[in-house]
Amino acid sequence: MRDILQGNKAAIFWAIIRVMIGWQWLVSGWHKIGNFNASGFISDSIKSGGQTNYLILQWYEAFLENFVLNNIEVFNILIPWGELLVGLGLILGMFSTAALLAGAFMNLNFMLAGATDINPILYTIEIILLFMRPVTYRYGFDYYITPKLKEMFSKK
Amino acid sequence: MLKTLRNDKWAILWAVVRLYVGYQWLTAGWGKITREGGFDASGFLKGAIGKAGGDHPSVSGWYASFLEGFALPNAGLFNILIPWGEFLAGLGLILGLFTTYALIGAAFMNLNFMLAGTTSTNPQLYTLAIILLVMGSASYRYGLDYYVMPKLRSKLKKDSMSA
Repeated sequence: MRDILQGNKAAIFWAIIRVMIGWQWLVSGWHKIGNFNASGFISDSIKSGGQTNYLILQWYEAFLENFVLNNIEVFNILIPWGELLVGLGLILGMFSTAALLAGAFMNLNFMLAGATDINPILYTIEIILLFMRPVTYRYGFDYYITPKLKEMFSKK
Repeated sequence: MLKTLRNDKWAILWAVVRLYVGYQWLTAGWGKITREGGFDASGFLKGAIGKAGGDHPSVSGWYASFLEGFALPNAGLFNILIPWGEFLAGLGLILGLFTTYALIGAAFMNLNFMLAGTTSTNPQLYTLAIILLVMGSASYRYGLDYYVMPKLRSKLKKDSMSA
């Protein structure tokens, strides 16, 4: 089964999936750049924490309140640009492992903060793509870059 | 790296994680089974369908139509499936028996609960279930599957040879 899923034909399928979710990230990052402020969303998340059989877990609420809200300027830049770069990396298939890890990490945090919508699906697809490596980027820049990077590092 | 993570020492950690996740499922399932008047998902389902509208919907449109067209009309089925599914997944994980199936079932439930707009412990239980699945046989190194699985495999092999 693994042979079929990681064959060259399946690679076309994974490339399409990769570009599709990359597009989701790119668009959502692009719309946030320059006009994004997470503090409203985070304050709402913290508020919903106490009520409704704790939608947000206490440990995550404490993290939002004590760390994220106090450093909100960092997150207001990190999230839009992180999303845009993850999208770009996935569409190009360039540094796709890093892009998938970063994307999945963002999805996990958005879910912990109480946002569901498309996050569970993206999170699941990203984990699947991580496991399909290296077929994930068979049709992407990584296919050409990764061997060269490996060579460079092994020379040293 | 995966090879190290799957050795006997790391397996102790995976057993602890398995017990934690299993206990969460067992108590969640048991709470629903023993609930007075029985467990009824329809209120939750209706709430989830309502969350599909607006500027920032927490439920995707396609999932809301699945809930509306399939889950809600068959709520009677889900009212039995969910509590017992949760309870059995929890039991399997605590005993380390049929661990892989319990993990797949548990992760599938987490995914659906999240799609229906519930976060709570779902993101972390989902993530832990996936990690345990990746650890494969190391997740039940200290569980009944360690003894049961080899026997099942040899039995299946014998059956297929005699057939």
